Amino acid sequence: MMKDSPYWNPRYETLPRADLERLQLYKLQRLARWAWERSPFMRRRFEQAGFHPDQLRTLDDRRRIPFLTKQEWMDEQAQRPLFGDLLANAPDNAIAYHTTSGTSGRTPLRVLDSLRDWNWISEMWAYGFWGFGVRPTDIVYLAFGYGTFIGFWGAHYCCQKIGALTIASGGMTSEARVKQLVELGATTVCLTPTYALRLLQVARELGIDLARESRVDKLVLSGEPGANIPAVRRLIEEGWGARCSDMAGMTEIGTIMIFQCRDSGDSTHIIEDHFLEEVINPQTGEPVGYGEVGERVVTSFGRAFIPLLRYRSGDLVVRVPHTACRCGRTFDLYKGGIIGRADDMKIIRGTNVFPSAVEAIVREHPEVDEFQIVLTREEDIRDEITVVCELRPDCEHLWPQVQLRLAKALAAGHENLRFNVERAERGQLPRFELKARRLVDKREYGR
Amino acid sequence: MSTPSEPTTVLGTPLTSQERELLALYETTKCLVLDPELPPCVARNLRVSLAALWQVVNDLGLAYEPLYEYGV
Repeated sequence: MMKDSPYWNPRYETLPRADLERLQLYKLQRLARWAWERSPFMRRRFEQAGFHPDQLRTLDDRRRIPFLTKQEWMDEQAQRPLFGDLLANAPDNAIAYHTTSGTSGRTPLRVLDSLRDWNWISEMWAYGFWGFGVRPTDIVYLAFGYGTFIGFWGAHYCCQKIGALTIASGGMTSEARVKQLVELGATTVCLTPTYALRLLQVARELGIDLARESRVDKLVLSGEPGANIPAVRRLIEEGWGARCSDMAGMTEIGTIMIFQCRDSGDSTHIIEDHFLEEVINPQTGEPVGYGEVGERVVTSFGRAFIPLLRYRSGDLVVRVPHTACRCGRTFDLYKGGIIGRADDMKIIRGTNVFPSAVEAIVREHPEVDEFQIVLTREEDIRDEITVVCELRPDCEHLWPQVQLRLAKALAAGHENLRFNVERAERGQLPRFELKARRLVDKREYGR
Repeated sequence: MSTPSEPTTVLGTPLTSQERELLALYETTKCLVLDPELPPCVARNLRVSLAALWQVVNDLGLAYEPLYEYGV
């Protein structure tokens, strides 16, 4: 029976690679033509780069299309508020306004979408939800605040499309959410990895064991790379007694572009019939091969209100062939999902430090409830890195051992770089519902 | 082999009878929504249907177009 299919779109999720590439070329040609004709911003950029849509005769010709950066988009938006000249459709055809999360501290990107854009946005989530095993009989709990941040809005409509009972928990406290998802028998919870850990803390404080007392068996994690940090994933899966799926997306495309199916382990399938994904060397812009770390560049065939061609995401990935997963999909994968950001690497006394790598080590220490990475500059020259930890209430007596073990593990993972490990009082460090901001770089402010 | 007049997917595969029906439904809905005399309840609900049909034909590779001129 087709309704028992493990694939949302059986034909295209298993399409031979050569046909998939022909489909991508077909869509790319039409999308580029649309952008050229309808988006003044895109046309200006194409002309400056000497590119015309007629030049797209093979998929390799995509390299004639200039890269688009977030900075260019933001500059355009700032020069011509609210949306710049990006729009390829009349604003009065829009039905939804959304923004990026603004966690970078800058003005968020603003986007408009039409009715059919939103159908497509929820459709991409449906590829992921269905592939992970969410079915009409599921009860899906969306633990986020809604609002203009695009967040899990697409997931919400996806669940309704699939036919699952969809519970929106906007405006609720974490305590109320924990109680409600248990009471209503939610089977699937959709949230950020950070918030999955936070709800575990809250449940513990309420005396609720989510692994035993809830029906949750699936967690859809998005918004941060944590779902693919093994120690974080283990904490979440054990605490909730549920399987995790990492589904990563971005506001710039309005939806997710990768998801973990039930068989793909730590890797995420790229939805290749709706996206053209490239991986490049962030310094040279040249493509890198399978198995090499590079920056992902995305072209979206879905949302055309704001056409997005060759957008530099800043995400670091390692692409591997579709054969790395046994599920039968012909979509290639990113091993480990989004493994970091091209722009979040910090250099401390000559050693490269990625916040995600620090988190991976900290999460190997279950006594640590919350943490923060603080960078300072001492005597105007010597950079210091300090990991400030809050312990679980039942582990506070273990602090001397935890401090020693953590400092050793952090140094071992960073070419023997010395990390300071300090303790924070209970409740001193911030908690997060959406994207966590655990890095505080005080060097940037001259202190 | 398909004849030149035979409708195909965007990859050139001949359509099944079910796909022909879906494509016809999509095209019919496109025509219907352009009628300026439709009452609001019909005009808006038809557009919701058209947006869903656009997704169907897109997913199945039967058509790929922006469609915004139909107010969706």
